[in-house]
Amino acid sequence: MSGTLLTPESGPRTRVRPTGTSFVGLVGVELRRLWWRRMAKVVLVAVVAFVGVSAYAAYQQTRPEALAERIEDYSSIVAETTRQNASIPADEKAAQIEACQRDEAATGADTSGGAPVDFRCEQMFDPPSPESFGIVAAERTAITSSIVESGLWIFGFLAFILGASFVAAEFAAGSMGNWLTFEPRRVRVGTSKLVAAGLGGLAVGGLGVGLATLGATLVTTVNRPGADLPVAAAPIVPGDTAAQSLLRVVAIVGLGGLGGAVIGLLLRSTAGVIGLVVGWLVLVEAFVASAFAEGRLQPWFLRTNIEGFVSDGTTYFATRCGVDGCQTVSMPHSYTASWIYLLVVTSLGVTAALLAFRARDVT
Amino acid sequence: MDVAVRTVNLRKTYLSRGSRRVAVGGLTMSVPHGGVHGFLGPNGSGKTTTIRMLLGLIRADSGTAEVFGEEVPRRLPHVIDRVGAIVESPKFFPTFTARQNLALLAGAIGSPAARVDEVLEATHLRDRGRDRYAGFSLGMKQRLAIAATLLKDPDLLIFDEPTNGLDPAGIREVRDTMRSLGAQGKTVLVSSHILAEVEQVADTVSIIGHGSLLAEGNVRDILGGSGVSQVRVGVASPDRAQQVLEAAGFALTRDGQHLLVGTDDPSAITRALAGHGLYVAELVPVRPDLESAFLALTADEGLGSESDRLAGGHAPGGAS
Repeated sequence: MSGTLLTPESGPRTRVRPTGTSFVGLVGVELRRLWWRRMAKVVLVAVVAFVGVSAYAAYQQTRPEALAERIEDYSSIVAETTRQNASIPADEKAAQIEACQRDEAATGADTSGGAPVDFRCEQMFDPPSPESFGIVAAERTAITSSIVESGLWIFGFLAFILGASFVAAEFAAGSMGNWLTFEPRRVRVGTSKLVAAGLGGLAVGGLGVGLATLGATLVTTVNRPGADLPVAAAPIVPGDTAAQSLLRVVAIVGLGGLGGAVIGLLLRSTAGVIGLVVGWLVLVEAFVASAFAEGRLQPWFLRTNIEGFVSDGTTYFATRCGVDGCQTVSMPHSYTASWIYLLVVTSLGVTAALLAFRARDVT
Repeated sequence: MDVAVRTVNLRKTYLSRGSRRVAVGGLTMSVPHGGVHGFLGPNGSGKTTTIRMLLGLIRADSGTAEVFGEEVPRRLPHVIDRVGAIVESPKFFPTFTARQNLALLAGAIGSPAARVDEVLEATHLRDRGRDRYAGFSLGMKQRLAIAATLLKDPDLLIFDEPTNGLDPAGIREVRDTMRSLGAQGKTVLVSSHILAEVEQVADTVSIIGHGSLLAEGNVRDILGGSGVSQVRVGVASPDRAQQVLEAAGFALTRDGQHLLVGTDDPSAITRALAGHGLYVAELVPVRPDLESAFLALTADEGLGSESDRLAGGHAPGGAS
């Protein structure tokens, strides 16, 4: 085809020239672009697949038939344990308990500032509990929490990749320059992309938690044990505590999306972002955090703070040396310290990304 | 003169691995309002860098630039709705369809969704709207880029090397489009290193080399100002004819069996040759072109190597 593409009639039929859109409108456009991306579909499929597999595993574990098998195993082990314990003289039992309590006290004294120590010495001759054999009725909240906690890093990583590629792909395709010829206000453009990536991350987290809840509900409904099975009720997690924990997971996954977009905006390359993150996780979070300063640097690393935020505080292991030598002790890290750390790191990252995007040439 | 684009002492230097490269070295130029303005220079002369600075994509080290009287990039948001641009090759999201790409851009400027259909129709892409951009030919990509610029109904259209990689039909399509836009009263700034392309569509031209302005004005004035007006003479005895014409005071050069004679009066050549029994078999006025003008302009600027990188599109001295 050849000829003039444009005639005087090619102009808009409405002669009102568009004068831009609001920030919310811009975020809406970015969300539309995020949704249209193939990566978004890949992430959704991955989340559905992960939750599906996890729910299936929970279903297998809580099947009445599986519970009946475990109850049988449990009964024989209890009988065997009772028989063995009956053959141990009472004074020997008391001596073993006493020794255990001395070790407990010694360890507790060495971990000043650490988490309290409980060796459960008094229970050392008791038969194992049914719960330790997994003989508990399927409970929705417990299953949901289990799936979500195990999926936290996967959901977070998926959201991170989604956010990183969402921004970096624009530089790779060269369409960022084209975009800026339509909306040249860089901070506004950059912020809209970060917000969209964060919202995308929240959606990934929300989907994961939602599907986990749905899967857990199905599992508990299908696997409700009959009255003939002597199954203990699962420990009840207070509803608001469980909900808080799930919301924190969603928030962390949202931060994953935002973080991906921030690093994508700084590095402008999806491959570069993935390389940086894998390098960081392997070298810094896994090696440096525990290898230097006797492990006491861990509160300053991402993993500890994410765990602390989601789990309402966490512990990490550090080496503590005294006159008797060095011991590995468990150290607490609070929820408050975790969320403050995450807030500061996120704020610094967003600010750096926007300043860099504002100042750097787009070629 | 009503000016659409103006730059004053615009300068941009790139730093790369410790070395400095001046891409634009104090460029001062003006693009008049309305019509097609050629932005001509060899590859690497700073055209794309200048355009990127006008669009706020890269920052100038110093100097000022204005679009419709508004300083850019500071006031660019105030005029961006009047500016449509295609910088180098069209760049869209490859896995999205043409319609999706346009819908996103329309959303960014608050243009109604119906406008997407209008511009797809205007650029003959309506039937391909649901096809992925990655599968488009270069010509279709160029059309989609033009469609994107039309979402705004701009007063200034900037085309950077718009015919690169296009087939002859595509080149003619884009050329006609630029002419049409200029005829509609819009300002079209077209950068190119292809002299013939600019010469065919441009009313005015800025010629740059090494990031500085060499000449600016109407194409006709530039051509006239180059001082090049020649006649190609074919004659049976070129050696003898050369002696006769040189003796008569004509400045000339040999071009194989032809003579290229500088004169504004071709009849003086026939008279001089006929007076010595030499009869002209061929007498063709060689219309001055931009390449000649450019060569003349750069002769004293030490830009010979840059001139070599200009694609003339026709033989030196040949009429287009």
